[in-house]
Amino acid sequence: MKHVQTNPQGTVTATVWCSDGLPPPVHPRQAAVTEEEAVEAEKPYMRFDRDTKQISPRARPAAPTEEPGLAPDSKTAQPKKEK
Amino acid sequence: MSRRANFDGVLNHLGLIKSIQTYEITIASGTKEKTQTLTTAVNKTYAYAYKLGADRCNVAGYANDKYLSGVELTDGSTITVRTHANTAADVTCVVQVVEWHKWAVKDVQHGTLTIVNGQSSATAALSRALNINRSAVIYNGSTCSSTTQNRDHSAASIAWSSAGANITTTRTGTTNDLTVYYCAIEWRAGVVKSVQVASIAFSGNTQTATATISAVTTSKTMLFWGGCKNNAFQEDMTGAELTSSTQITATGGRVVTNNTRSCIVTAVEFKSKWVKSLQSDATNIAAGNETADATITAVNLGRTLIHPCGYWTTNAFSTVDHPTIYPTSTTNIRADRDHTSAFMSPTIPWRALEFFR
Repeated sequence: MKHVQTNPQGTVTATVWCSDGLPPPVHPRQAAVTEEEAVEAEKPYMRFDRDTKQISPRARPAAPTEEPGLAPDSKTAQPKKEK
Repeated sequence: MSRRANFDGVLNHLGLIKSIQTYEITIASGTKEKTQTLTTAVNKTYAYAYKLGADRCNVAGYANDKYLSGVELTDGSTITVRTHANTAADVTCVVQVVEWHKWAVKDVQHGTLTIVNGQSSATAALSRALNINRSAVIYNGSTCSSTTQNRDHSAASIAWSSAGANITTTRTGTTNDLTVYYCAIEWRAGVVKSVQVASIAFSGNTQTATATISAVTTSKTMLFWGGCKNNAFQEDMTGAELTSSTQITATGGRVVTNNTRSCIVTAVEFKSKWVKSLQSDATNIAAGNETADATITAVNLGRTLIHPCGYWTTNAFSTVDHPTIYPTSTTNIRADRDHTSAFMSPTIPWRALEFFR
């Protein structure tokens, strides 16, 4: 599995490919983003209703299913499982 | 005891390494090729050559990329070292030939890949696709048609691509023909615990760059050098070290504002039962000195991989600061550069992994 790592400016600083069975590397940048996202997730998701002209909490939109930052060829780079 | 357990017991007794030989090879001034006959013939299918550092030269200001060398295991009894053109001074490199038992390695693929003038990369199909879960690609130097020093055109990195079906080499620049020498080794199941390939890019005003990897046991993990892409100058060459269980750090010789540097390192963690010891260092040759020694706990040189992982050096004076390393005894590893420049101070990181057998 390929893992892309970035600096705070968003520049790619490393790409690490891990063999089957390894957990993904926990890059400090990824950990920081995760913490920010966790804080953000605690906040209620507010939505402005044009009809009532009121702001009210709503359910969060679903997160995108595609993993961001992976190179286009990541799917072809998937190692085969050993039998 | 099951037949499988009995078979494993036999393998444990026989070990992984059949032979390890280290040679210092000099291309004489006025020539561009040198062959070295191996003391002990090897089966090329299960053996690789690993260039221990770069090219030494005792002439200050020997700044010309056409004298860089590439190394190949030509057949089971011969190593060949080549430069692009007849050299104007002796050029010396060091090569370790590692032959594995056939039950340790599926095979080793040896080859060259040429990036032609005008291009920044080249790709070719391997003769057999690698199982990338237990393979490493080794950069073994290069030859270049350049008649000047332009390390952005003459330095390259190499790795597998297309899920192990292809081999790809890339450089920063596009000028002159550049031929990269490589070996691709695939170990058998039961030898390797994990493989991680890190492509590490420098950015901004930095002298170092890091990649975070999934945790490894550092005392069982070897780094295999996949080369580097570079800026124009010699002091921008890079080397890499395993600086913690989760981090590989790449270092260049200086802070560079406009970074195009990157390097490729494969971290291979061997299964614990095979590894007797692992020692590492980044040996610095001080300005004014020709060599530097690193004392190690005694190892059996017949089953110890000694692999450097790039190098870096200070100052842009010339290209004479290409260091090599080699063991001088079971307790000493020497970094060497064949001259005593007071202007430059190269550092060569290395790891020495000793197998039980």
